[in-house]
Amino acid sequence: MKTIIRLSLRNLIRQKQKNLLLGAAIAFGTLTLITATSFVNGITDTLFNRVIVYMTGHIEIHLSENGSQYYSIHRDTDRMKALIRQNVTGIKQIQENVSVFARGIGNGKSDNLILIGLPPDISQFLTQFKVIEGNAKDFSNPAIENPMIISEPKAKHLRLKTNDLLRIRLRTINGQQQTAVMRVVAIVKSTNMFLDATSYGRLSDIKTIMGYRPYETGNLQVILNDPMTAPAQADHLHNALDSPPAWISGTMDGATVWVGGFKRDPATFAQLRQAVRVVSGTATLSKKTVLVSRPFADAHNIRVGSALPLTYAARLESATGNLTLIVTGIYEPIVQDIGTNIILAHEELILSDYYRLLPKLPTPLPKLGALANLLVPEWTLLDRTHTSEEFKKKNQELGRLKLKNGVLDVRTMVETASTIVTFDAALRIITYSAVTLLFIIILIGIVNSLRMNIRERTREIGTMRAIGMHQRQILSLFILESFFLALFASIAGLIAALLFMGGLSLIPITSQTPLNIFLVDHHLFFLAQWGTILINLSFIVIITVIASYFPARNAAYLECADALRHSEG
Amino acid sequence: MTIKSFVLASVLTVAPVAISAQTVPSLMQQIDSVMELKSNITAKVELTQQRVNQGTRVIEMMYRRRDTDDAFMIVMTGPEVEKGNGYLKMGDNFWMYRKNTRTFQHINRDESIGGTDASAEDFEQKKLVELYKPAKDTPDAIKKETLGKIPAYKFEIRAKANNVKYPKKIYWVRQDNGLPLKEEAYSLSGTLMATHYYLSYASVDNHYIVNRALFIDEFEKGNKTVMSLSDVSLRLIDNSVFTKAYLENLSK
Repeated sequence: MKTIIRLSLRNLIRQKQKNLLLGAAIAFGTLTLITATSFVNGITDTLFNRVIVYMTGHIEIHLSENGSQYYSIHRDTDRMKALIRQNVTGIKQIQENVSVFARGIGNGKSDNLILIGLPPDISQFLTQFKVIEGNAKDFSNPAIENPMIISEPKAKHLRLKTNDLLRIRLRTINGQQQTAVMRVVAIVKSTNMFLDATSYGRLSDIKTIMGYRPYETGNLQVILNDPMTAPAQADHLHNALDSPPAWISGTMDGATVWVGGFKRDPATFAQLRQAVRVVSGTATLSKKTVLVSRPFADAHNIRVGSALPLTYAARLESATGNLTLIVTGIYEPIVQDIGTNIILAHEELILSDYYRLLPKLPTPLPKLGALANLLVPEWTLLDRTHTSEEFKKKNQELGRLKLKNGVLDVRTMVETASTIVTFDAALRIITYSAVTLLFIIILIGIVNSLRMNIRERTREIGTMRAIGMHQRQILSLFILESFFLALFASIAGLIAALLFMGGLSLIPITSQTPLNIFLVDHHLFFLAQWGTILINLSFIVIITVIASYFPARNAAYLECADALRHSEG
Repeated sequence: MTIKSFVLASVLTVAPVAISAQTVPSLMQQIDSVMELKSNITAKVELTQQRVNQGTRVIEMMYRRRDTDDAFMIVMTGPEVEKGNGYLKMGDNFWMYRKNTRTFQHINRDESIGGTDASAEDFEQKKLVELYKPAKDTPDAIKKETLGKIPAYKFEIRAKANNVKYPKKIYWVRQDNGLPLKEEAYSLSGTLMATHYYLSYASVDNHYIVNRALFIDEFEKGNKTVMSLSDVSLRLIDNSVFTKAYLENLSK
């Protein structure tokens, strides 16, 4: 075998001119393939890991209250993060997205801002931004109150320099008007035009200004190692996020009770009336309705009109809540398996107290039986949607429902950033189609050249057969020649592609067009991934070897005398 | 400040009464009774909005309101680009109507109305005594001041809950009849955000209606809005008015 390898390498050098031409064609095909795939990979990386990551994450868990779609409020952040970790694999990061539209007044100029909260460690942030004025380290300096990093265009518009103060006005998560003063510690130039309008404060500062408590946060965004798995992962997470009823569980007259809110839609209320019979007082859809079970009422001498003072412990802080309910009716379960210490109240009577001081999760849970689906949960889980149209419809429907409790939505970039995802897919198809077409043309040239080459060497094959070489050895010789030719040429093509991409990415593109979103720091961005390059090179070598196999086989299996008699004329 | 300013001001319809008990709660109740409209109101409204570096913009609209069933309708009549657009509220439902697409869209209570700083929740009927409480219980809670040449009571109130837009307000009301003259609204951090001046009242069917008011944005200096009311009527509004069909037909 060593001899065959030596011979094939010697033949490559011997046929220098022809092999150089053939090698150049293969190298050009390699260059095209690697450049195109790196360009598309670069765009995908820019969109998915620089743009979408900042917009929505790959998966976003949005929890809103009282019909608001403007703010997301996760009350029990740690619990939700734990659920995400349990049900999503390949997590690169779970980030808290706390952002707000604000009105800012700089030095004699005002403008709207998107203010985003950043975690204490901003090293990852600085990979996307270049500090052009000030010191990013001041952002973490606890002595500076409300430090702010602002993008260059925004700073210019507001006439701000480092250490200047920016007054901002915004609305808190509760709807209150709020003002704050931010100090500019750094002015940054973003690597992407998309991020030019943004300004940044410390996550803890922005949360405080917006009215979040320490254990609360805005949207939770999951960044995955493989963004393409987002829809499947979101489906899996969605299946694990059903919420139990929003119980306010505490003590009343020495007894443990569970107060649950019955849903206020008439259909569900009708089902409730089929599950329980009111034996005293009334049960209507009035916001004042409070129903107590007869065994509990008898045990505690409760009548219609009695005041029920409930004391309950908060889940996430050392505080105690008090809630007083006035009984409007006493019920008796019609169906079995319903606990006796359950108080049923109109959902609007308990929800504001529930969210104001999130009560401890009750253990054990009371027996609910037929009531299970009739009580308002901590959050209503929205159906998963897989397209932007479905997502839009879902939100319109949500507006009509006017739910008062939390509404949880698990969404992915496919729905929320569908334009970008679709654009990326379309760009991939166009690029790969063009490259495939070009490569097929090059391949036809390669196959034809190989055939001609082998045909011209038919008499040489006859000579080799005459001096004792076997047919299989001749076949191996030609295939190895093609293999080495393809290998060396594709390596040369790889080097040329790297130089070509390096050269292209040095050219600054300063024009302002929407396509600038694909640029990184005003330059084209190529992402050469070694895995993809290896696949590309293997593909080229395999295709060349396959292309040479058939003419080589025909030549190898010629009779020795026929080969020697072969004449090109 | 446009539509919201108008809503705040136009509801100040009152048959004025002499103020006898000078406590903050009684003054708040007086303002509530001023704001509670027990009949119907129809009026033409003109808002002249002045913004820094943006010049002056005049917004005109037709406003109809009925508090008995928490209904109101706004039909934009100017500028030309807004003409025919409208808003309709019936109970818990709040729709925005776009003339160009002839579509109604449910809007949420925290969404902006007509690109202004007002949101749907500003239109919800809320009583001052339910949302606010006196800032002080002491005898000096009410101060006597003269506003221009008009003797007024000045008092401060604080929000009871954390979902009130302005957590602190200061009112000046006339000593003789309880009509609000001036109002200051403060942010959560205590910054003065807006000052409202109720400049003049007109008498319609034994009610006083504020027909000219000035709203000053104190945060962004230089922004202000003047509201003028005309063609005011307190006649009963037909049920067919507070419907989608009516709003749609207006723009045909």
